[in-house]
Amino acid sequence: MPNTETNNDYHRDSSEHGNNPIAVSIQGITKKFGNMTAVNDVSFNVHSGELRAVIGPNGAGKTTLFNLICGNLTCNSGKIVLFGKDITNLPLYRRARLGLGRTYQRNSIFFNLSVAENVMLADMSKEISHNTFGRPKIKSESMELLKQFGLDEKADKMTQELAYGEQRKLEIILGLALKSKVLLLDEPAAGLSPEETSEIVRLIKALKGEKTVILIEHDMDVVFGVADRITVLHHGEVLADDSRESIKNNPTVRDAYFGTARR
Amino acid sequence: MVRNFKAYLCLLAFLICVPVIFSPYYTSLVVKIMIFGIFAMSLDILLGYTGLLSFGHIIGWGIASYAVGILTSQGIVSNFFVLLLIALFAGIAFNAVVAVLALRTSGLYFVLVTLALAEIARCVAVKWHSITGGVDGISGITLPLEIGETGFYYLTFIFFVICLCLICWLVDSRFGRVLMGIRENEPRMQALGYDTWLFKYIAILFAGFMASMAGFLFCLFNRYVGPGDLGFGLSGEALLMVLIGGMGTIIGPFIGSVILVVLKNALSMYTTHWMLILGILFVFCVKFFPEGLVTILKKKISR
Repeated sequence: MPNTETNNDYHRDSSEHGNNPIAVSIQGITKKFGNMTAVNDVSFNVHSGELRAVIGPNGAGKTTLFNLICGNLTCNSGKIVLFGKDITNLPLYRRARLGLGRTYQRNSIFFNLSVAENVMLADMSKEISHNTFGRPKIKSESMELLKQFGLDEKADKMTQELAYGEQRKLEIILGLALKSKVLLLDEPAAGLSPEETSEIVRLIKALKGEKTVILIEHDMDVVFGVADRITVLHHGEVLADDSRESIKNNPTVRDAYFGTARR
Repeated sequence: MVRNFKAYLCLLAFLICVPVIFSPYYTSLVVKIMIFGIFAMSLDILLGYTGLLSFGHIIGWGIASYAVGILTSQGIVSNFFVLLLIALFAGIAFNAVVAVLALRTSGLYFVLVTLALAEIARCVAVKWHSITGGVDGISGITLPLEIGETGFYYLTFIFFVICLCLICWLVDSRFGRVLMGIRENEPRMQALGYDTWLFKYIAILFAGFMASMAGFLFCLFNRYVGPGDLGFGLSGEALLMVLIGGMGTIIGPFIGSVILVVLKNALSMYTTHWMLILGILFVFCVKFFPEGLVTILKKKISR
């Protein structure tokens, strides 16, 4: 494990997850689009069971970072390690199979299928190679998930007929249904009402400990309410990477990121 | 079970009775409808279920046809089942190669690459005069089976039932669901852990297998194979059948085949410009009935 500057700061703070194995290790990844460097030599480690928030102003490179971790984009340089396995050159679907789950900032669900069919696709994924020819069925745990989000009554409705908030919940359900060990949540509360946002926050809190979560959020209440550690990105670089309290009181962060009102 | 199961049984019952009710002329028309029905259904696997518009789909049809033509005219094979096996195998093998090349692209480029690959096959058929008969093709092909016209009708009927069952199974299976997921949102399918390339590849082989069946039958029906069996014209007609009948429905492509074969037959008796009329029909359907007849009927019924 490379000893970068951010890791030195990290070891000085105590963290409840510090002794857990490293779930995700981002090592010096860079992404350029022509002359524009979207992500520049970013490194940080996320321990198993930790909830890491990635914050930064618009254009800081947060979603690009997620795209690099998940495999939507390939890095120009650097390494990504998942539970000790180098996944830098693996395609999207292999990383998903190794336990990397994701929700998207803009709903990426199956609009022309019903809610139940959406979730079924996530259910079938792990078993598809040895159960290719059978009838698709939705798992009882997934029905529970739908119930939790209040979508079980709408299971047979076409996704495009749902309200935006409900579609957003389905987006998150798709991320959860895979039971990934590491979850990347890209602005899960975007476009949700305050009540719906608290639902999401409750859910994210419930995931802590059992799953490793990396969260992009603009809502600082949400961030400071759930995060263990916070990584701040600015212009594609890591500005700070510290515990929740330290980031709260960090003047450089405040300067760069001052005035984040809730979207 | 598949919805409208009884409706399909009625259709099959009707088809069984056709040689008894109708004259040989109309019976052979129904043979043509069934063969093109199979071809259109196979195209729909790619277009309606997987979301792949492939103009290379004709390759399965054409290669199987040429296999029959070449093997029978040169007297190499005279056993019906061996002929069928070789034709199917050749069709699938060519699709296996074409798919590897075509799947390196996606979207519009996929359409163009498949079109180019089909054109290459057609050009080879034209140039390789000694084996394929060049522009004239191979004529006088006879069925290595003594079953007569009615026998051939029921042979085609059996193939049609097999293909219909395969499509019904596909719609209900997990494999079919995955294909539909890929059609709807391929990146998300990958994010859910599916190797979408592999599924698309298998879909192309599966569709190619069915197209080869249709090509095999048509070659024996027409007693002729030529470069047109690898040409864009046939691809376009099959596409038209799928669009008019209804993409992504079980019976839609067959209905499209009924409409197109009957129309072509009727129109060509009155004018030599039937292709122009079909072209206008195409534009009309794409503009006003993009979902196809069966889909529109389904929606009307469920209201």
